[in-house]
Amino acid sequence: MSVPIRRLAALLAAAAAVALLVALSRAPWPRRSEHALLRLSWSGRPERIERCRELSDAELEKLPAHMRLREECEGHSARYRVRVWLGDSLLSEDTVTGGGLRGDRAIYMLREYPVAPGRHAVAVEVARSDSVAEEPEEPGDEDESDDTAAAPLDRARREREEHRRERLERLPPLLRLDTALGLAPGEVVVVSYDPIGRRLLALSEAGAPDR
Amino acid sequence: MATAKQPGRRLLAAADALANRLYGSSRNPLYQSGTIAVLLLLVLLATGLWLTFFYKVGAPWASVRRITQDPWLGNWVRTVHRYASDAALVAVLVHGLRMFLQRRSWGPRALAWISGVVLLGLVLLCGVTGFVLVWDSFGRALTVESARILDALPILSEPVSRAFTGERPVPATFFFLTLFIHVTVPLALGLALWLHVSRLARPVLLPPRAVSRGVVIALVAAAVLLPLEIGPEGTAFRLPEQITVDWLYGGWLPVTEPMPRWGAWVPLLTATAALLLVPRWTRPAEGTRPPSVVDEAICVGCWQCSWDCPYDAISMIPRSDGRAEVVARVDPARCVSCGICAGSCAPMGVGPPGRTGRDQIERVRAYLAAPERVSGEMVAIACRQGAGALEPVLRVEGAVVYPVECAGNLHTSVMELLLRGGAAGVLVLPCHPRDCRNREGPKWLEQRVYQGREAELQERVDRRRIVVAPVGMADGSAVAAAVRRFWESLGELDRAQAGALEAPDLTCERPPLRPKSGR
Repeated sequence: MSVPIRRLAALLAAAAAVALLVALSRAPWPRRSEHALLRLSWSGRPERIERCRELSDAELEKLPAHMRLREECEGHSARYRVRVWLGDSLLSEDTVTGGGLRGDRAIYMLREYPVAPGRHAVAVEVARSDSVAEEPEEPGDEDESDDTAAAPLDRARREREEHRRERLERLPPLLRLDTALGLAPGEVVVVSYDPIGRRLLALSEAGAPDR
Repeated sequence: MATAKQPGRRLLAAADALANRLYGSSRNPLYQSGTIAVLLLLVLLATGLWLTFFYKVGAPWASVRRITQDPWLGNWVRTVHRYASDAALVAVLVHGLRMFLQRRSWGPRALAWISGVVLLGLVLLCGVTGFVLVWDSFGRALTVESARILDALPILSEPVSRAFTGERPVPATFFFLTLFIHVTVPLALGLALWLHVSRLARPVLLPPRAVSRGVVIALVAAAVLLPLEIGPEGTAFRLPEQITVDWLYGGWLPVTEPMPRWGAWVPLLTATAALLLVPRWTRPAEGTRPPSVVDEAICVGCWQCSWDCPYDAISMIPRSDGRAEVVARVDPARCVSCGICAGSCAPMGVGPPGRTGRDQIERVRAYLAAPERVSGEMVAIACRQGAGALEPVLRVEGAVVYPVECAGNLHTSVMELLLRGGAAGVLVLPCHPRDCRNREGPKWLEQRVYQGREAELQERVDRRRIVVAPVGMADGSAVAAAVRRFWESLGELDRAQAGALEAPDLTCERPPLRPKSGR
């Protein structure tokens, strides 16, 4: 092989290698989808099913100072039934529990349902499937302060506040979203949970999808 | 295992032979795959540093789009960065494949192999995080799928996937963390690279200048001629109709997507375990080769073997036998039994058992005394792993093949003895210097024969009857041509010597030697 031919061949081989590298670097992967997607994505703490009792002063005395909680509760987290309807047909029905080995962590929900494009009535329901014993009404904001406020009273009030805050963080017994969605091919609508408003809501690219 | 490797080795040898013809053995990019990977890492560092100044974790896609839209500098720097990352991965894979096929992955080389696997993992991690930072549809697809696979691990308190479902915007902290990983992984790469070459005496980290220039020019030319475009921004609310995929870093996406999330761990863990177990699997069935040993009675403490050892396995320690000076000591944990020290020891006091200079002399004597031997032959000393595979070609061309483990082991006395024993010429066929399994065998051999390096070929030996011609195991035509040329030159020499005998010239001229060098 003469030198010019060898050089030309070397150049062509290098160009071919670079072209192959570029081709591998930016090759299209067609993923055209004819359907839309309904995605359920939310998390929330499950309700506790528990039996509580107040400890007596004598019982509290036996505990180390930093562990003296007036109310002692035992129980487990509730299960929830999640049902999704598209029009009149039930798309899915699941029972979900909290995360973690004891099931007392938040429930993490992530499900995706392919849906034919078009306008659909969509309903999502999250209902507690375990019953919870009736609990006494919370005292709310009622002022319990006492001029002679002893430490145990403050502690009891803080405990009640904590219980109330925890209960508000937990999923309500029933959540339901009924909406009508107009879905284009490839569009994704996310059904999520608003922990402040304590309701389910649908999200799309433009914010809330059309109703 | 060995049989499975044969087709691979033949294919590799054929590719090497083609690249040698096109670029010459000193510029063969396949021989330089490891150093090219390091060069590309430097290119990535330079271009990546520049890109970091313009990247915004609060607006990832928009900032990359702005870089891409800059026609003067931005886009081609980004394109070079991208193509260099692809080329680096290819170079690492080619380098690993070479080492695997050449069985340079077990024994004392296991550290280099394992650290190489770590380097491959780090290159992949660095590349994938780089694509995520762009946050186009491909970056998002990589993220979502990686998060889905990660969620199979029972160690995470909250599923990672939920960050990308569209419930809330992807937080800037995610991009900050990804950028942090992307820029700190190269530091880990540097550390792993140091470990990778830590057992080499003279590691070569960068390719020859011509190859470096060629690689950089090719990258810049590709960036200018085929600049990158940016894909649509990744969004949770639309299924992309098409994703422009980098198949080198994202080729696993179509494979794992249909799998259950724990299913993706099976091929990943299997591949990782298989790669990490290669040193175990490639260990020869006949067992490891014993490390070199030093005969302290013969060692004169000249240091040459410790200078020549490519793996820093020989040190010089004070003698314990009352004699002055020092004596060589081999560290068996570092010795790969390459035998280079056998060729570097003039008094033949060191080498792997059965391959020391003295063993080599014994073997030559046995060859010369063999009844079937016909003197006046051309002896072709060929590496078993290289030109030894071309024995039929050598036979056809009239050479007698004298296989050796590595021509770099060869003691120069072997050549002298062959000529004194009646051989017409000695053709030494080592592997190409950048392709020697023992790294520096051909280099030291050439210096011993032609440049008077210690354990040199004695001046009394007629160098016109010795040729050192590096070849690969698929360079059949080159070997045939080398043998023919040598036969012609030997014929001319014989005719000249016959003429000189008829009219003797008493002025004895020897070919000039270059000054002797120690290291």
